[in-house]
Amino acid sequence: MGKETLGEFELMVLLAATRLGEEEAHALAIVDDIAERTGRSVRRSAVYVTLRRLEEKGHISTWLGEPRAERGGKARRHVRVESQGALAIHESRSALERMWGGLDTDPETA
Amino acid sequence: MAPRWLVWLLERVVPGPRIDDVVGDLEELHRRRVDRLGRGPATLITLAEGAWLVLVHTAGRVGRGASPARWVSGPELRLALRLIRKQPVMTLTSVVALGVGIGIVAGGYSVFRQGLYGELPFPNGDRWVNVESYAAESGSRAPVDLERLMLFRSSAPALAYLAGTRTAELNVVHDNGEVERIAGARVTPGTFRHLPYRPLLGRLLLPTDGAPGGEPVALIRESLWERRFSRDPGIVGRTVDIAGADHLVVGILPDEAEYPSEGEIWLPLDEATLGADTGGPGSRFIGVLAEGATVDQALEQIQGLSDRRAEEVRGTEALRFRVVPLTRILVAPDIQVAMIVFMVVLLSVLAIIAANVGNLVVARTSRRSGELAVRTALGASRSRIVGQLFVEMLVVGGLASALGFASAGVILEFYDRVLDELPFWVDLALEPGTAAVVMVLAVLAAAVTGVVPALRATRKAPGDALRKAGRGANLGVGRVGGFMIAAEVALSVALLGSATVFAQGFQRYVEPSFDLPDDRVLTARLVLDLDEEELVPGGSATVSDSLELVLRDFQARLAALPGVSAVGAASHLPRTSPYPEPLELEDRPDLVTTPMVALGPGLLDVLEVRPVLGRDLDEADLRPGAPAVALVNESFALEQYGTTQVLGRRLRLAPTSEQDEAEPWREIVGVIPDVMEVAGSRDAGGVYIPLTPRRFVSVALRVDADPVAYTGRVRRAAFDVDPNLDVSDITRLDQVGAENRMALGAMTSALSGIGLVTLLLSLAGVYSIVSLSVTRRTREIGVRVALGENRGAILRSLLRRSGLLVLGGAAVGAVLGHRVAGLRLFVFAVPEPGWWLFPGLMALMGLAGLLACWIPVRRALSIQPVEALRYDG
Repeated sequence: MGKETLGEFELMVLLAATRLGEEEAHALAIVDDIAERTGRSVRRSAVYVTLRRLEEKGHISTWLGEPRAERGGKARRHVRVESQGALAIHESRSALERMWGGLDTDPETA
Repeated sequence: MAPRWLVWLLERVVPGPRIDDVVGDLEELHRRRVDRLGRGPATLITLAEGAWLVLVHTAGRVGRGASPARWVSGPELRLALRLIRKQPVMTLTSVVALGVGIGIVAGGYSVFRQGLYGELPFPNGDRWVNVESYAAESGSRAPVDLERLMLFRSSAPALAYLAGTRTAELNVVHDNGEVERIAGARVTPGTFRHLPYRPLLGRLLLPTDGAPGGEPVALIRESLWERRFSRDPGIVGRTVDIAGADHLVVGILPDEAEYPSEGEIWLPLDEATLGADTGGPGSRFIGVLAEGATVDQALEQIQGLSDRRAEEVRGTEALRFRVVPLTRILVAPDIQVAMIVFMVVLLSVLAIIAANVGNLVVARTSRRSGELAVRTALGASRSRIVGQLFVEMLVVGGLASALGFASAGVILEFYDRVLDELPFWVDLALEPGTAAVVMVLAVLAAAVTGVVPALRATRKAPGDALRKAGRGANLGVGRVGGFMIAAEVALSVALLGSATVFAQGFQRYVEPSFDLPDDRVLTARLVLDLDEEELVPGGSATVSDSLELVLRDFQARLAALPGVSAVGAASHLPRTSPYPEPLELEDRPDLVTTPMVALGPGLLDVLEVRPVLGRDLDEADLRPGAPAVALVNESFALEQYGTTQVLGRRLRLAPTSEQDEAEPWREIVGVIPDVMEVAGSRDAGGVYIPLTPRRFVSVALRVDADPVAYTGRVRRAAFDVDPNLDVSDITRLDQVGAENRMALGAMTSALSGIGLVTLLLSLAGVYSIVSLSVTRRTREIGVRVALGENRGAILRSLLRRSGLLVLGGAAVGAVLGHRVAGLRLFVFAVPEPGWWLFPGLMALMGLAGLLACWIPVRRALSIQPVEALRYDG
């Protein structure tokens, strides 16, 4: 089996989780972060599914925090980006940069 | 917080490790929505989302771990729409049936919710409470002494304020001499400090207003200002004759000031005595809870203060208090029962409708069993097929809820128009709670009607299902289908039966069998609640005297009017259904219960009723010490004695409790026709005793012209007797109780309509399911015909089970309907159901079942056995 590459949405989720950091990265915060930065409306269910898939691939791991009043006494599931995840982000970026090499993608000048 | 029940439900359907994620996120998002959108819309969205989560997780469990997200993919939705389009009749039937059902329930729920849990429509409206007091021993309503009220005011920290209010009808004499009766209230001035109202002109009431010796002042409402004073700003500072005294108008309140009275005049009660007359009619004590205090704390504090005072001060009556939110006006147990019964009826309707749609879907799903089996064989998982059918029904549910919204809106508008006596805070409009109910109901209905048949259809192994589908074997209605038939037949028979009985009762209530001179009689209602010194100048009268003095005086003045040929008074007028009272008949061991009317001389004359035997009551019967007498009506005489020859027999009112002494035996001195009662009902009997002192008396006068033209003169006569005499409801005899009748008429027609709709739906449901089951047995019938079995025997065997289900259901429904009809839910007496009613409904249902069998059976019997064997149904 060849090396698995990240899909676009997977990459976004991983980037958001990395930026937010282990203490702040959880599903709702990731939804907000992606929506805010890309201006896209993000389906929560898509983030859940993606997080589960990333966890199955070993890119991230999750852990339950302390119960919180604003969640009706329920805990928050935090997301930790594992070294494999960090590596996958790096590889995706390098691949993309290689593909962009020498191209002018500015719609104004194209 | 998200609704507790929703969280509870989610915690049961979401897999353990994911509860924190799903429920926690829902809670967190709900909080965000509340901040952004407000509580109502946020709750609505959270409910919808929560209901969806419950469904997909339930389905996920049923589908053994299948991802719920795969259920409603785009292609699935498109396929659902295509299949729905292919079956327009089925879709339309389901949508209309579910939509109307959802609309009825959502509308009813809105009335129910607003009636029981409405809130005053201004900030802190939820802090207003009613303080009610009852004698600790007898449990009956008892007034509170001023000392205790003052103690509550000063020493109960849970109460920020304690107000006294007394609604009243006030006579206002205008400059042109016209007397107008205007609704208003007397209220302790401090009450206004806790209300958000600002005067349009002038000022509010001040704590010094209403103090003894102070100048009488009044606040008036914008509507009165406009109607009588043409919005003249000079009215503030002028005096108006209100309730027999000149009052200085100090301010004008805007029309939206509907509390503490919806009337048009507010007069101050003395702040230091809280109005003192704590037990008078229309008097109530209203508390404003301190911020953060609860109803229970307020109750605990005032009960403690009261108990301590009763212990410390000899002769102080022990009282039990009740503190309830002000808007809980409908907490009277009988009203609650009636409303709950009403809700149960509505939910039954929805259950019938859902059962029917379920039947249709069962029928359709079973016809598609071949297609489903092929899909399964090609690798579709069970969850996918169930999901597919669920999505189809969800689309139907979505359309139905849109229709439900629309019909609930129409229903609420109808009720809002009919029930004009509603308290001002009851706003019968669709609110977020109702909308949420509509959506939850739609999704639930879709789940039940889509998922259950789908689960049944996909239970078999694909090979089996394919083989059976190929042979057209009997999928049958099974136990569930059988139960559904029986249940819906039972419900619709019960509903239509009881609705018919109510409708009959109502019809009789509206149209008394006795021919009354409706177009020549004017009636009025008199409230004799006058204070001693108000009654007659310098007089010292009691309520008993007030009857003697005021009523006599009033009647004499009426009789003196030109064109008036007779005047009379009684406790009740025709069409008001006097309430039955227990009676003892001499030499009879058992009590009988019969409507009782206290009759003054002259009323029968006004109504042009002559005794059929004996005499009318006269002046002498009313005098103290006069021999005790009574009149009875013909129905009572025939029912109790089997003859109208009852003069000289004796009866008396049964003592109401052990302390009461029995009254002396009353001799029957006359028999009159059935005038006041509901003819033909169990309350057709009537007993009439001489008019005794009472607070409410109805007066009637017969005139030789249009009675309505006498309204002003009647008002003037009352004013001349006493400026404060409370005369209301001046109306023609045929208009007596008209508002009640209209509301009851609306309710009865609604019940009859609902009953009829459910009957039709049930008939359709029975037909569809029975004909399906027979169609599925075409092959079996062919075999039996081929083997030479008698056609009659085949028919009988096919009809047996369906017949038993239909008739069994109808029998249960008949018993249930009989029970419901026997409940006293209305002010009018409900007649005994005719003997024919329930058997008739049973026969109708039986006939529908028979027809449903007959058509497919005939078809099955008429085809050749060889073809029947080949039949692939």
